[in-house]
Amino acid sequence: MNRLDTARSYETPEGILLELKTAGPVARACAWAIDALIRSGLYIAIALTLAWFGGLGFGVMLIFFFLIEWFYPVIFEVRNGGMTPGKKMMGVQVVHDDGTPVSWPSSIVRNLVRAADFLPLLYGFGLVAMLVNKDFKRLGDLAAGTLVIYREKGVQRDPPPPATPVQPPADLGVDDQETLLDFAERSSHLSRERNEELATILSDLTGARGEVGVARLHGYANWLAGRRSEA
Amino acid sequence: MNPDRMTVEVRPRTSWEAMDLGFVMARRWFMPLWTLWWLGALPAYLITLWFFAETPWAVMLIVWWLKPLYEPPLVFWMSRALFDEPPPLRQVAHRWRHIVAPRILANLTWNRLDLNRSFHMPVAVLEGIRGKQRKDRLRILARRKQGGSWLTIVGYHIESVFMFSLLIFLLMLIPEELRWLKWEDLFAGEGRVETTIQQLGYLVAMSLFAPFYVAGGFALYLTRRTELEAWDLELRFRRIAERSREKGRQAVAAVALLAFAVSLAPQPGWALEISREEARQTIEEVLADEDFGKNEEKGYWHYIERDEPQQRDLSWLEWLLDVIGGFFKGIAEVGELILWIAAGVGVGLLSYWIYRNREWLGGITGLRPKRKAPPPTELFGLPVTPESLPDDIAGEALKRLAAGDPRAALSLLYRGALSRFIHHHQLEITASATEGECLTLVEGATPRNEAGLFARLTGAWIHLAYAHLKPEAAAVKQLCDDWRATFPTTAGSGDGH
Repeated sequence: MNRLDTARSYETPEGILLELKTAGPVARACAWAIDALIRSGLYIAIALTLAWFGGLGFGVMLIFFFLIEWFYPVIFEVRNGGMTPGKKMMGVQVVHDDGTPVSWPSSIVRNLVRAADFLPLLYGFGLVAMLVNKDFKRLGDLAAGTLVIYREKGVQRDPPPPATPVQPPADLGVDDQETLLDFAERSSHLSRERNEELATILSDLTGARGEVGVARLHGYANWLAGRRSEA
Repeated sequence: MNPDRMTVEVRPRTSWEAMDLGFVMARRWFMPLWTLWWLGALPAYLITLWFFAETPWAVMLIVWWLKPLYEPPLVFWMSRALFDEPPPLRQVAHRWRHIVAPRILANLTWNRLDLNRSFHMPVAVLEGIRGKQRKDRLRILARRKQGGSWLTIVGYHIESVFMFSLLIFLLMLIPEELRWLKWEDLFAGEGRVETTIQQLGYLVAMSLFAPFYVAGGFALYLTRRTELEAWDLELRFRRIAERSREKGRQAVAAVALLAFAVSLAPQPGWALEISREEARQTIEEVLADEDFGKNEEKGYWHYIERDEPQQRDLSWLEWLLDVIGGFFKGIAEVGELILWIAAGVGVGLLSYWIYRNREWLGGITGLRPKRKAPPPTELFGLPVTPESLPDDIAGEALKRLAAGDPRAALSLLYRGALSRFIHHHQLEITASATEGECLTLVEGATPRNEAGLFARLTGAWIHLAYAHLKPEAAAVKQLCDDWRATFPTTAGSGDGH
């Protein structure tokens, strides 16, 4: 069964599976709003400065407006790891479909096609495209082959609760070991009953149920985390 | 609840990601959700229209205000579809009152403007708890994360964008000449037609976004519960448990097989007794697997020339083509000739120019020998300057030979020859050159007779110097004579001393 998910996986030729978590309209709309605020600030500052220079100032101002409007996203996306300031604040970034950093041509294309996304009013088409497309791509992303994904942040993980390290059964795969660690790290957020319920599922593995099972799983996790003696 | 049957990937997510998950759900289940929304909204709209026909703005406001009436069925439907049991829409319609009833009064009055409406709705609809219990529950659920209000704020904007985009898009589709409605009337007109269009546009915009909004809130709720109850861990634990049970079964089977094999041990090789036919069959079965390659049939269109003979006489066309072709061929031949002539003239001019500028060209290309380094004074330990040699080399050599020292004689001849090449022929011999290299240089740059003599000299000298083979006196004498014949003592060399 294929479960509904927002992540899209990409396998590199080296056989490494990359998981890209695509970002949807709400996060992206917030990022856009932040950028729009920053740009308006810039416009006001430029207009106030150049107002002193009469007709020439007006012309220069228009040139500045043009450049900022079209190239603000491009420059930030290419030079700043796929992130405009708004995207950075929202923790999203632009990458190619295969997860590589966005290049000049792609960024220029996706931001030029913004004009089509903007139609008929305030990104009407872009929003519809995002809601319909399975990777939340607006038209510009479709044209440029880019994705907007959530940046992987270093996760602050809680250490597993202290327990006597016990060597887990040998035939646990890497995924299973990760599962055991995840359980130990998260078990302080779960209720005691839920902890015991979960540990009972693995009673075949641990040979214990309930509270003892939880303790044994914690022991495994401590072993997997590298601890060998009771500290 | 059985997480195994979940149709949605549960895992800890940020609020933003959770909303995105909701959007994916809404996309996947759009049609049923959309229909459910209209089931509630359309009657509400019509009834409101009936009562407030004269005040269009009130209709819009009321239809918007009554949203909590249309949305709970969507949550209910999704909560069933989540476990792969989507209920028929009729069943949802039957239970309408029960689904909508929880907290409806609060939702339609003081809680209507609650920004977290989408997140609180699943708690009310699915958990059915009240009072203080509900408050505690909400407090636990809402701890740490608040995505729901952003969903509402952004959602409100998206709804407006949808509405205006829809209206403008429709207007854009009407050609300019046929446009019976002005832009400004479309948004602010107060006639019956305009207000109806506005209302319908808003209704459609709301309906389009409602599934996403409700699903977004539902996914926020789902994600929070996943986190609190570790549904994802439960799923993964179940998988591990299942696998270890599987392994247990296999182990038991293996042990049984082993026991069986041991009991049959006295008959060795029983597994190999398989007939040729059976073996072939097994092999074919194995090879039929896709892993060993497969045959595919692909169709494509290929042009096949017509068999039937050409019926129409096209000889005149061929003749015409020949004439035209001949004409162009003629032009081409003339052109080719012109090209060759031009090329010949070009080569001639180039040669002439090179000839005229040979001096200068020689200077820049280094073809003309130029002394860069001073001539060597010694080669392989032998002094070769003219000063170190007597004027009459051949005569002196003969004298040494007569004195019984062919080695000195040969050495003198060899040095003399080298010295001449260096100083008369301006031959560029580096101080590090070997005898062989000297010979190669000399052979490339001096007249044949001189080179021939030098070759003989070199041979004799090498034999003497390295192999200590004494040359015969007659041979040395012959060399002396030849030397004198080849290098007549010029006045110049004598003048210097």
